[in-house]
Amino acid sequence: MNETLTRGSVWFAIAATLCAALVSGLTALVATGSVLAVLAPLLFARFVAADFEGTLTAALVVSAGMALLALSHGELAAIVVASGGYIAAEISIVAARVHRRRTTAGIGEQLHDVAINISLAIAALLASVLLTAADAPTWLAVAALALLAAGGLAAYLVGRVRNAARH
Amino acid sequence: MAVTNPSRDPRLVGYTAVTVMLAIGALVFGKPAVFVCAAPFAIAVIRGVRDRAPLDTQLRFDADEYSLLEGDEVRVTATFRRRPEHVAYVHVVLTTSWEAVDPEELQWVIPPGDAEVTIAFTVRATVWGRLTLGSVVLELSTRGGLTAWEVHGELPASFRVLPPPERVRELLPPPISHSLLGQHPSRVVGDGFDFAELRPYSHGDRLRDINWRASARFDSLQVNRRHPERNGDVILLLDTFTDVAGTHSAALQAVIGRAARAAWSIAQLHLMSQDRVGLATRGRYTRQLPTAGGDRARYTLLEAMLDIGGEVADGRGSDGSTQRLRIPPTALVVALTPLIDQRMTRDLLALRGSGRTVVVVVVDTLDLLPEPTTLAEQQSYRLFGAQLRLQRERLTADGMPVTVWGKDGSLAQVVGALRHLQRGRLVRR
Repeated sequence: MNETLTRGSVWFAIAATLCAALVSGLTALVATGSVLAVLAPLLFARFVAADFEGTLTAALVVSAGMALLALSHGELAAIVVASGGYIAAEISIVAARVHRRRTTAGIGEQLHDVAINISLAIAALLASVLLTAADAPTWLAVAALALLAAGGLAAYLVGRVRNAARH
Repeated sequence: MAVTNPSRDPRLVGYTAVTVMLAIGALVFGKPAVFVCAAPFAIAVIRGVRDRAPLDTQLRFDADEYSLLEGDEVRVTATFRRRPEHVAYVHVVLTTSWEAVDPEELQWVIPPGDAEVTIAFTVRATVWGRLTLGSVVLELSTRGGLTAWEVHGELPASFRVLPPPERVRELLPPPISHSLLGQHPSRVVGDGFDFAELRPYSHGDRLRDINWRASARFDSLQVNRRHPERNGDVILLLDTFTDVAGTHSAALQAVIGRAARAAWSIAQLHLMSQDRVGLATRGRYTRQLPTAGGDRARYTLLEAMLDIGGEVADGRGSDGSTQRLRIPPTALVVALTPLIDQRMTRDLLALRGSGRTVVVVVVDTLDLLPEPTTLAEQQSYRLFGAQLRLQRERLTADGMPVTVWGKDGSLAQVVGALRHLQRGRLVRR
């Protein structure tokens, strides 16, 4: 393997891991003020090194737990923590791939996907801020949950039909 | 290639868990805004599991050449099918017997596009033998998808990589030649071209054999006697014993490679001269080919050498040193050995003791070792050199011609030195 290429991929993985750790750690620390905020960044860093699904799941669950913990400081704090966890997961998955493959080939494509997903997270963040400011009723959450479940079911059924059509 | 089922992305389980946790949290605490911040996770999961159909990639390979010389380059192509919306990541993993001419050609990320994709890479054979190339890891995924299709394809082609021939021009004279015509002047005196001796004329001698000058000097008729050109048996004895750690270190592999190349060169030249050539290996790889001549022997030898080269490169083989050597008594044994294992010295002494004619080419290993830096390393280096000298002296003292083949020495010089050491006596009858 080309040494320059390998070294470049290692530096990229380190930088991306630091970025993911900062995003998830700082948002959780600012929102909750708890030392537990360091847990998720450590798990994200471990995931990049080991590329193990369980570690990423644990990091995301810890992030979600921190978001629920931050609810006592206000909805906005919880929203920021959850969004930070999502952005950190998207960055760490790219870092883990680069680390595993030992190359930054095709990194442009991956960063493009990450940018789209982060835009989605920021849009959700803004929508949440607006909802919080408007003091939306609880039924809105129930309705959204029902819609989401229906969407998931529809996606599953569409996938089944497409798969059957291919074979 | 079999149909491949998709595997899940590491994010899938995590995103699903977060979506459920935040949705329940939103319901329990009555905060709809929390639910909205779960939306990116939920959308990613829904997008990610859309496509889960099995995929037939039809991964296949081809190469410009399947028979090549050590150090030659070969262009290999890999072709596979995908859905046009798939992003493909291809990683070629080569075995240690090959190196990529351009390492960047071993990793490819192919954006969505054509359904059939062909990639090409150039590799160079670093060792000789019957070699396999390695494997290919192919990952296909949809943009934003949380499922991926991963295919591990073994590169099925088996390459025959031949050793580059060392330059040898002279033949080693066998101890006893056969009745078939060949290029060696036989030790036995008879009809031929090379002058052997003078003897007094006797009834029945041909007139053209009379040496008139010698007859004038001796004052009686003298006739020339000549060596007939005959063929002989040559057994190439290859030492594949391991080092003290019971393995083949990189240096020892290089030595075996050099010895085998030399054996192949000597064998080719003797086969061209109508000699019958056999092969025996001692040590980790045991193999015995009886002496044979002609094209059939050449191919059998080549196949055996390719097998040995492949086994050395892959680290296969087992210690079968207890097997008895079956060597014809009339054969010349050309031993190619680094003399690291004393069992080889013992075997050579036993062969000599049983009346075989043995010549020894010691393949020098000292130049392959790293330069000693510490005092302990220097002492070890000296001891190792002294032990090798001792082994050589034991063989020489037993009447075996021994010559050392170093890094810069040519095989032609080594063979010439052996011929000089092996000058034999006439056999009269």
